[in-house]
Amino acid sequence: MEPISIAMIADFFHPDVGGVESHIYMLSANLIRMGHKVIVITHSRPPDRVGIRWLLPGLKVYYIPFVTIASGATLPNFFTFLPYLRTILIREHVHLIHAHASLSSLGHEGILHAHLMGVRTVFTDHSLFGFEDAASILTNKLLAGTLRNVDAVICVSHTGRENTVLRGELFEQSEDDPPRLVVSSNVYVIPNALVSKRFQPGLLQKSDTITIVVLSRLAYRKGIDLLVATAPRICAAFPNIRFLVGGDGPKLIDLLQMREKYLLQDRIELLGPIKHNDARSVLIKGSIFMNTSLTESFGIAILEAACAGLYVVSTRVGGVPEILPEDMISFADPNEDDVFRAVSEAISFVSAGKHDPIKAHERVKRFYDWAQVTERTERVYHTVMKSEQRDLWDRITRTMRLGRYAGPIYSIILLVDCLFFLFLEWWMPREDMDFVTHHWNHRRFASATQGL
Amino acid sequence: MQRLRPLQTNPEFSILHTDSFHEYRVENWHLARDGSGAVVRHASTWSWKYSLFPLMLSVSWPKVNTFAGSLARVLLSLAAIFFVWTRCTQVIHETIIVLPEHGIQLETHKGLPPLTFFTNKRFVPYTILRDLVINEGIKRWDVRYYLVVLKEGTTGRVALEVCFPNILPHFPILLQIYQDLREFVSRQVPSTQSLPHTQPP
Repeated sequence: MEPISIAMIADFFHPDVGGVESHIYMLSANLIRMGHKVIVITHSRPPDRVGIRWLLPGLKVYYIPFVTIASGATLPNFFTFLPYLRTILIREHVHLIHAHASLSSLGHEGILHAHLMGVRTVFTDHSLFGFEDAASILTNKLLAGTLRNVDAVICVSHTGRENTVLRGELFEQSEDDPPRLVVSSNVYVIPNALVSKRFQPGLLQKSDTITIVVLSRLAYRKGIDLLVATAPRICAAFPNIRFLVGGDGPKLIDLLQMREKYLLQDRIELLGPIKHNDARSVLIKGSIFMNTSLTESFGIAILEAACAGLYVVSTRVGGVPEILPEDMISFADPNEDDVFRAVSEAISFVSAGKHDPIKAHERVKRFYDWAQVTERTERVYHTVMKSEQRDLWDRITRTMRLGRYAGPIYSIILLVDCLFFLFLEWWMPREDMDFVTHHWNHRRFASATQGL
Repeated sequence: MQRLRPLQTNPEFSILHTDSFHEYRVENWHLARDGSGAVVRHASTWSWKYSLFPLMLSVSWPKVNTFAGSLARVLLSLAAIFFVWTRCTQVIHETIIVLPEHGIQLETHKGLPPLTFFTNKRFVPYTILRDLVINEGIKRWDVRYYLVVLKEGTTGRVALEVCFPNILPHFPILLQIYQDLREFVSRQVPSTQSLPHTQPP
């Protein structure tokens, strides 16, 4: 595929740490290695992470001055991002926008504005959401409005794909008789990947104690309540079990209280927040990894643990059943008794010595690989670039079909957007922009560093 | 001792080389970038339209019997003074003067073209100068390249001095100056390492 210029847009990027952030970074780094030009647009983190910066390996990051409201996400708005986006896309000669995460309003805005500059759009959804509560209903409608005219959607698991298709209304009436609903052909599933070299298993140690490792954000979504309920039962039933809990969050208090109540200070060790670089050193201290999430779209933490040679116990939610074969993972329903049963099975499996960490690592190494993921993503980009761009009338008619009220509202937003764009074309003409002619040349950097 | 204009697309940029100093000057006008080649001036001499304001002021000068009248007089006078002040502090040109053996001087000349009334000069001695960098920054809704001199004081704190802060010329001019000044800058502190340059793709 010929090299193109790609702009990744997301609210969630480094210096914040998380799954989406490292996914964007690793994907960008691999695309740069394949020869494309990649930039990242995100919001600034004052006082010092502002402006335009470079990350290795030649990734330019734009930190745009927007105020965040909650956990790194900016307020949903529809027009304030257009001037910045227009300047950046034109001066960098961008061909395609790749927006990440449903909660990222910068990404949504990027998709809504891109067609004005003739830029194609791809959206990746990283999480699962519900349908019942008020917040979900509103954000799902926002998502449906954004995805109405997007060129391609990528999801990280088949469960995620079902969820996104239903939430974002990515289906159409077919022409058969009687008409039925058909999923749009531009929804793809490309899983996440991990760098398996960073998660090598540790040296085998013969000892009687079996350590169960829990590494996650200590939040409600991650099922910490289940851990709090089952840990005392497990410690009581199996005297040779130790828990190692890493991570931080609002539910840390609950864990501390449980530990005090049942006097398990010597059985449960709380490590506090762990940097991603240190995750492997924590993982290899144990032989079982426990994940009690209530919802999980992909479960990269589970993969990292399996890659490091641990046996995994997890709740059967979301996309988790898709990621590992049956003999490397034990499933449980998200309730206390079933989790206890699954952990007991895991303990007896591991105590009998039936789990081989080295073989597990070799298997996981072959399943998920960044080169494969990047190649699949490139194919999506190629398909998008070759397809025809929808014209404005098409977009307006599609947007009007969103709903009785949402349709006209979104169409008005689209038209005002066009008018604002025309105003900007007059106020800040294109020919007066400071175009980017010199960019980091990856091949020259590679040849210079290989010579060392 | 001739003033050279090395860039055809940017004739507002000129270089003067003498035995004792080198001057890189950017004047406050540019060629229209839509291909017509017309000159777009950002600093203009006193034109007849500016005289309309004092004319209207003198015609509508209020009578002084009421308090409102004298207040209006004060406000109108202030407005007139402000207007004349903005006309007399237009940026005419900005320069970088490189004095070998001594340092770099950044100047801004303001006034009513072609007369210069005010100059702002900032000198960075070679002992303090650490590096010369081209970076990009966000200015309101725009993204511009800027050339910046890194200074390191005695306390070790690094401060920045932006070259051409008012005109902010476009990248071709900055690249030319950067390439010319590399040798002056790298001749300084031996620990200054030159990083691999970016190249055109």
